[in-house]
Amino acid sequence: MRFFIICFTILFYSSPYSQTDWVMWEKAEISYTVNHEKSGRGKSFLGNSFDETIVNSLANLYWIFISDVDGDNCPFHPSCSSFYLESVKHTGFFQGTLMFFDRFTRDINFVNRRARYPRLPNYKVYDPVSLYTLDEESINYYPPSKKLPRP
Amino acid sequence: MRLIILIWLCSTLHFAQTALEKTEIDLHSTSNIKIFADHLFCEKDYLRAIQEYQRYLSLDTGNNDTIRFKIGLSLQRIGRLNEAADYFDQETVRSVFFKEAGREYFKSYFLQENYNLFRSNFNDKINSKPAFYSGESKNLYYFSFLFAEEPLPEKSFLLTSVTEDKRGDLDLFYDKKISISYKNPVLAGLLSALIPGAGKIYTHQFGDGITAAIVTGLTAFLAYSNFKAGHKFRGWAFAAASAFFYGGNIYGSAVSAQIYNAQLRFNFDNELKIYIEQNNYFLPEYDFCK
Repeated sequence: MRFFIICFTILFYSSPYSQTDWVMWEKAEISYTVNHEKSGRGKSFLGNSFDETIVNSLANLYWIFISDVDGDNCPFHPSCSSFYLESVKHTGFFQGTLMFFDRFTRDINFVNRRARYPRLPNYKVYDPVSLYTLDEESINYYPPSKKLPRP
Repeated sequence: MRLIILIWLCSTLHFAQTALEKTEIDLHSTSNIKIFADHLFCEKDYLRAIQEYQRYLSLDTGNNDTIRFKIGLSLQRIGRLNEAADYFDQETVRSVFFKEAGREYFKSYFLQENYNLFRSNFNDKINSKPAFYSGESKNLYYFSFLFAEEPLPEKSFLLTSVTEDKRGDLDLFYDKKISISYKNPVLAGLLSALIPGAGKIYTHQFGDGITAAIVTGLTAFLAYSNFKAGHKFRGWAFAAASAFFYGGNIYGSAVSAQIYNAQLRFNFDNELKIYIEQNNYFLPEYDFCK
């Protein structure tokens, strides 16, 4: 009887160990923390130039005292503040400021605002700086119906 | 009895692993690898089909140009276009698929959507390998001129260059291309300088135009009323905001005209791409999976 039990124990308990891909099937560890690196907010007051430092400081003050308290409400990606930073970085202070005010006007437009931009999976509309630099070569047009991947 | 049960248990486990040897099927024979690869190809599992075809080529001693052609097709269908072109280029005049390889070679370059590169490569290849040239490839070459940003060649030149059955379609696309009415970015900027928002309306962005007019007008009015009431700081703040909205709108109108033009170009190119795709890139149909 003892021999019989030992044999059965070996046979039945060895079979689970033949399964080697437990990682694929086991419960996944899900993190609910927001990845700040993806939001494009450096949180640094310093820039590569004097203009960038001023705009970085303004944007950081806005993020810390208003945006972080109010929540992620901008319908655009990149958000208006990130757009301003990026546009100053790409084109300089004066042109970047004009680009920001144009973006801000488009943001507060209440007539069919979202219809002409392609959407991202997080329901934000994609409106990159590269479209607005006045350089026709850098315009990569996406139709509103285009489904874009998560940035 | 116990012993019998144990032997039965152990022996079934053993036979479960050795059943294939009993039936004497060699799954890794060259013929079975080819059958499996063909199955993967027809199932559109191109990546694994390429691996199996390459395994077959490494085992098979014969020079199988059909397999090489199928590898090229698989690479083309998964978007590895340069590698696909290299495979098609390997086909020699004696190959059964030489003509098809020539057509697919040019199609691989056409699919890269760099039409200047496609045309220069087409001319180079026609000089170095004239037998690759065919009427179908010629159609692709001349239709590619319609995608170009630079001025179009003469209509009569293009019409006489393509095959007769495609002349009517090329004629229609040519007329459509030259009749696209682009917006002038400078005019859009000037209109917005005269009346805030007018440039945006000129580029069909009516909501943005009206918003720009309201915002600029409102901030200008607030600046005026604050100056009038003696609130100089608020007056200057609203005046600055108004100036920036005004400038931003002029800038934005010029950009809006550029984006409008890009949209027109995109729509035309998209329509032409769909037409060429529906015509199978002017190539005859061949199906290996019937």
